[in-house]
Amino acid sequence: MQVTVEYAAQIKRAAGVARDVIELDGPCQLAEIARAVAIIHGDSFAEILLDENRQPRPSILVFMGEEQVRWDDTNLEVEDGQTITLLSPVSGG
Amino acid sequence: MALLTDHEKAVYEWQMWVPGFGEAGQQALKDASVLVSRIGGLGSVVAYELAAAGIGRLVLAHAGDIKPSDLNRQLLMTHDRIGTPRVDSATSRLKELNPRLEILAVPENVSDKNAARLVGEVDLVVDCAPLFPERFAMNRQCVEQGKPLVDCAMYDCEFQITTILPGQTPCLACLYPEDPPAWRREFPVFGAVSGSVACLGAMEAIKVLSGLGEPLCGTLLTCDLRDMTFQRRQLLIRDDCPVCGTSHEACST
Repeated sequence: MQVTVEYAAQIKRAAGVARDVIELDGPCQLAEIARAVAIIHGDSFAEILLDENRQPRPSILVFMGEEQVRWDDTNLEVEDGQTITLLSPVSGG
Repeated sequence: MALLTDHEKAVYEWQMWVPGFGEAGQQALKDASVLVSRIGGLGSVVAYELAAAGIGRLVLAHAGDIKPSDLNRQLLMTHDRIGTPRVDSATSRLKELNPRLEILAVPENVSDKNAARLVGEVDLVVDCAPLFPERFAMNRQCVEQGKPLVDCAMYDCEFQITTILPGQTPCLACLYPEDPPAWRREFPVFGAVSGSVACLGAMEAIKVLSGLGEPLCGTLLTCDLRDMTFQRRQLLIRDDCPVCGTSHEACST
């Protein structure tokens, strides 16, 4: 199946692209999507997105379509054709 | 409460023509007090727009002196005041625009030590701060004191903004349960980006204080000015949030 993953702010800069379309074997949980894109984009990207246990950092906001979802919601499965957006936190200045 | 003077009615005539705002909205702004923290690229423009709109009182919190690298975006700072306190330059510029404005200039950044006092001074807070610990301190006090918090943020050519109404919407700690380890105080940004989100932040403050329109209640507006993509995203209340807890009502503002 195909899933589109979009990036915003620091994590977009680390990815070097605004979005990826990734191929997966079948419906999966959000953390698996995070680990899949971390493999594509390397260490500096992975450090922003994943903690030392390769789990998604809770400060990275994740959306399915326009709705925020929680990384630890184990009832959620990402399905073919969905768009996931990852927003890294930003501030004023 | 001091009623609007004839001079104020003349100054604010154009915005009092806005349906749903009128003289009652203008009076609400005159009676209101807002904390802007800090008065950098974001906060300068928030404060300037609120001063122009006739807010009664501003509390400006920002430590330190003006540096050359402030001048691409901190529009209340001027070249001839480099090396002098930011709050002094800001007070002077704002008073030029609106001499009726009452200003409490605080040469400190918001922290756990002063957040209760500073938030206690005002009706609404606009968060324009660069570091998460000071944003979390403001958020905790806004939740505790039941004060609205307009949260503005930016990076590169992008910005994000949401309005937090304690008890009705997610709070900042619902969004970010930890201090994001990758975030740094200095980052790439244009003044036109900070100014864009600052104008939206000022408008959110005006709306919440006057009852005009619909604030970004539980909604995160994101924008990438590189390609002018604007998106509204719905935010989740975190039931186990250690700051705002479990009791929330539907947004009614």
